[in-house]
Amino acid sequence: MSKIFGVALGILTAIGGFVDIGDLVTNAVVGSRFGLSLVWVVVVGVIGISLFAHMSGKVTALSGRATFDIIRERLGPRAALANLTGSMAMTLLTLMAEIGGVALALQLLSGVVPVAYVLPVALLLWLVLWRVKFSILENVAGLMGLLLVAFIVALFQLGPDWGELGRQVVQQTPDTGENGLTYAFYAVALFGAAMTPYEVFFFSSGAAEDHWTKQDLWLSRLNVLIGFPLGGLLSIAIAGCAAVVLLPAGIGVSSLSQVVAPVGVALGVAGLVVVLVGVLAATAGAAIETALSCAYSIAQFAGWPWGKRLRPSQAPQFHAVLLGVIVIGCLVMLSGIDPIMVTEFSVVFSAVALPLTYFPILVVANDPQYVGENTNGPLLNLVAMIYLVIVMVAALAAIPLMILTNMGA
Amino acid sequence: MGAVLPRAQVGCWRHWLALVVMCSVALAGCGIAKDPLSVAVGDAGSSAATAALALEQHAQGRLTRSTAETMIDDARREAATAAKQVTQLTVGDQQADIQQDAMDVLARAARHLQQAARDIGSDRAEELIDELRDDADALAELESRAAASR
Repeated sequence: MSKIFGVALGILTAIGGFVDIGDLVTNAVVGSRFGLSLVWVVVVGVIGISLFAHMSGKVTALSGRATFDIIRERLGPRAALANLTGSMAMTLLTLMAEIGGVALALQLLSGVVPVAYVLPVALLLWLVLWRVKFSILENVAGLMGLLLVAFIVALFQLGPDWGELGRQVVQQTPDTGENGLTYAFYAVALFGAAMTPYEVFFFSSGAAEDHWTKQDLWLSRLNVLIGFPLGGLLSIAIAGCAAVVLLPAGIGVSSLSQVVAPVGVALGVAGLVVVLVGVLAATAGAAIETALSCAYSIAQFAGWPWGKRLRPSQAPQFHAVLLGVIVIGCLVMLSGIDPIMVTEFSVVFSAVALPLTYFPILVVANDPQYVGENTNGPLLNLVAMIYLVIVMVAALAAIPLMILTNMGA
Repeated sequence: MGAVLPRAQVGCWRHWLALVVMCSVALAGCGIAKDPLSVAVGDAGSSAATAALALEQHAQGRLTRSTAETMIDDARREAATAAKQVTQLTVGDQQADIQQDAMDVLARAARHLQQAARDIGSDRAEELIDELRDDADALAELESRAAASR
């Protein structure tokens, strides 16, 4: 019974923890401008993140070490430093966006300007990371993030023309006055949002925190292969709500208030409050994950003791980095910078950093020194290689498309 | 990647990336990107439509006051930025009329947005919804004209 509970909990937290501020904003922007014509990108991204998160979890469960720890050993300090720099920069940017997202959600609930929330949110984040157990953090944020299911309920409640939505999915080309370059830009941004690098490093380090062994591999598979795709459905529902309510009204999403408005239209105030609490949990959960990911990656690269289970006196550098990234994120957001703009930059630059994250994971997952006889099979390697090509194309196209479209304007 | 690729290939890769970025900048300058006037006018139209939606849904009891107020505040901010961009843009002769028309509609929309922030939940909301929808329609038409005239 406790095993079934553990599996259910793992899957539910994987669903609830899948969506972050990048997914919320990018899916809503895309839905409001292109309808559901970019759903295929979410599908490609979800399969990709599931694939590489599974590899990452497998490496940790079999070797007892987090992926980044092994990457440094396997590829050498220079390649690991490139990996660290790319993924850290993106993760820090994402952390800022998540702190901003929490503040924006609180503004929508209370009416108080978001900048007033930044400092208390950062302080609370640090306290929670310092005092609360890892498993509690993971489960509470993930389960509360499930409130975002309100987007799916809202989509059905709106009673859309399913035939029209289906036509948008199949058509896969913009017919809303948008040009092809903007479409391509948002395809890359959506891909970057779905495959955010921090997610796999957090997944791997979290598995190490939970002391996964070979016996936990099946749990990892279930979490990733069921939880992530169901989390992807939330992303599609966010885009669907925007496509049904905002696109016909000529509203292009540029703020979090517009992202959640369709839920209010469909379900009224009660639904709106539920979804706002879900947004709060999703962004707070992602802020926890990104802050931890920064500290994990740096500590693993430097060979310092790391882990939430270790007290500050046992892992002083790890806890100092954790505090440092929260302070940086807080200071940047206190400057009054628009969190949505930070989010848009974070998903685009995530796409740029994707090869740095995913190529080393594939190398390590094929090294018998770490995974024994459980190296990837030929089919998994073939699919992973195809993904690496997609990831390279997205990474190379991201900046030129950003310049050409003036950030998708 | 440096440890994986030979040094010469890394250099080559960087040159190609620089070339791609430079070509992109050049193409953007040559007009591949969307017309800036139509983008700014489109953003303003979206703001007016957002404020209308916020007022309407709040009046029907589907949005909390804080959410509706935030939507209208965000819309005002975006419309103000768009108005500034429209005013500062240097356009060709074929777009001069559109720019002038846009500035007139934007001034009207700014007034309506200000009233929306003030009159949310009041009896005047219904009238304002229609006015903001008219502004959004007018701006959508100007956006199309600007895009077509380029």
